[in-house]
Amino acid sequence: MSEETTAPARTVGSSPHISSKATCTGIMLWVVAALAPSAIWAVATMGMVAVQLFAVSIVAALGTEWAWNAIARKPQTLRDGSALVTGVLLAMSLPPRTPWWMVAIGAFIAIALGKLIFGGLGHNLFNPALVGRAFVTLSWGGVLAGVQNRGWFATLADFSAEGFDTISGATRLGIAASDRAASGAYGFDLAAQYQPLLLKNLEGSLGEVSAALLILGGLVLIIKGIIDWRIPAGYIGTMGLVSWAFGSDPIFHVLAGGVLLGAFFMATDYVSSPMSKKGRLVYGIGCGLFNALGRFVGPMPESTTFAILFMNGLAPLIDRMTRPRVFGVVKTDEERA
Amino acid sequence: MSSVSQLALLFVGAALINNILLTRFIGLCPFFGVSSNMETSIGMSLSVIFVMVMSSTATWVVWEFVLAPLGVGEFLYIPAFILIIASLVQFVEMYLRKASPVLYRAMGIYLPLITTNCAVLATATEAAKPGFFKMNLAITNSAGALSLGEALVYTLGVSVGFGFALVTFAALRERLELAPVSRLMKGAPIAFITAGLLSLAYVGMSGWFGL
Repeated sequence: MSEETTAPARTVGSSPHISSKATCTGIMLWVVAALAPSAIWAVATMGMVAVQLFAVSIVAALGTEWAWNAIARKPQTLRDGSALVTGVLLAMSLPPRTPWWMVAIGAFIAIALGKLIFGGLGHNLFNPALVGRAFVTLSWGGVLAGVQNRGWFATLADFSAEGFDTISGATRLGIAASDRAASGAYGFDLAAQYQPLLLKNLEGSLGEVSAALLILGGLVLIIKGIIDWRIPAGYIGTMGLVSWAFGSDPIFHVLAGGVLLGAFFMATDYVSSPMSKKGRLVYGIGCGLFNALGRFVGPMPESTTFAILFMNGLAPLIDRMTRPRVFGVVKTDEERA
Repeated sequence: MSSVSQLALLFVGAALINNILLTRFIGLCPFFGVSSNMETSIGMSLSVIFVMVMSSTATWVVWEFVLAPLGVGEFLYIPAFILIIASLVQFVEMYLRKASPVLYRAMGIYLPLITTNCAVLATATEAAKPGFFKMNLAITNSAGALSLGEALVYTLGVSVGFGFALVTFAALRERLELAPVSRLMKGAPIAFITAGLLSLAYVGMSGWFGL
């Protein structure tokens, strides 16, 4: 090259011009840190059962990602921390005594079909942990419902002997749903359940152990600017409003079940939620509406998983419709049409 | 007679809860065929709404006043319905091309594509022929048939649900365009996996309102 140029007084590199110290790994580790209080409390109250669930889920998630990359001869991506988050979230969204092989299959599906097949982190259309959970729930829903208070090796035998008699476990939410279906009223005091739900709850999924710790973790993430407040606010707000409109106790319905875990940690997944601010609010409201309708008019006591998956599916469309206006540009005829 | 709330349930049940594409898996060829592009998906959705409503009306009338009175419906309904739908849509296409070029440009090219589509035939049959409507709503008469108004609401629900699922899916696929999907999975395979995952979400609505 013999082209001569005068050296500019100041070199301006190409964009981006504003850099930040936030890295993918850093953000993922913050999410794990925010989940840690709930996870530790779950281990403290449930003991080895919770340890095993976490261990199987995390090892299976990391192992799947490692094996996939090794087989596809791609650079290893374990260090971005997203498989760890998926493993932790999947474990927290399952009942503590879920058979270990179901957890492993769920983690495999979550990582392989939920994320890697789309090209890895940043390209998954749905939240990987919820894909895994939906797969496990729909494949072995009856087993999961019966699993809560029994040893896990006995579960399948019990299940096949009893047949498909119920899909709900005897959680407070399940009892509330069957009470409502039977008589339109509740056979127990919903307000008296706030304290156990907030502090120590040994039914349902592992992550439901303490609503207070989940809220704490969620608030930390919001204050750190890691998640956008619009999604949990829209989700929880709508959940409460619709519960109230159906004549039920809004606080009970926000605290019970998977709403808090979903609203703070699952619906806020960067990749599968909308990008625009208005879109995020719409998305949160949609999650809350679907979740509440699932509880009040649906046959299952809880539908957080499906609510978030459904809105994940709508996220690209929401993004299209809430695209912020570009200022200083004259619209072409095509855009105006 | 059916109340307004029952008609609303009929619509929601047909559009979302029993979505024809994602819970019943009927009419998947246009679903995968045109969803790679948003504009074609919108055009296809409008055409499907138009064609389904039109063909259900026609088949309902033909069943009620020709096939049923003559007692030949049980074995002639499929050829009769296909003939009616195909010829009707072709006539409408010719008319549109002449009378309304704008409308023709918006959906004209999709009309021939869906004249013999299974989703259109299925919906027209469910709307017209007694016993084919399977939703758990006590609105059919003793023979299991819908009235013309209910058939129209039902068909509108099905076709709007078709359009909703198609446009949702097109937006998802547009995002997939940029993803570094493996060479083996690019195109149709990843689209099928996406559709499967999307239909997982629709499973969450099964049984809502007892539908």
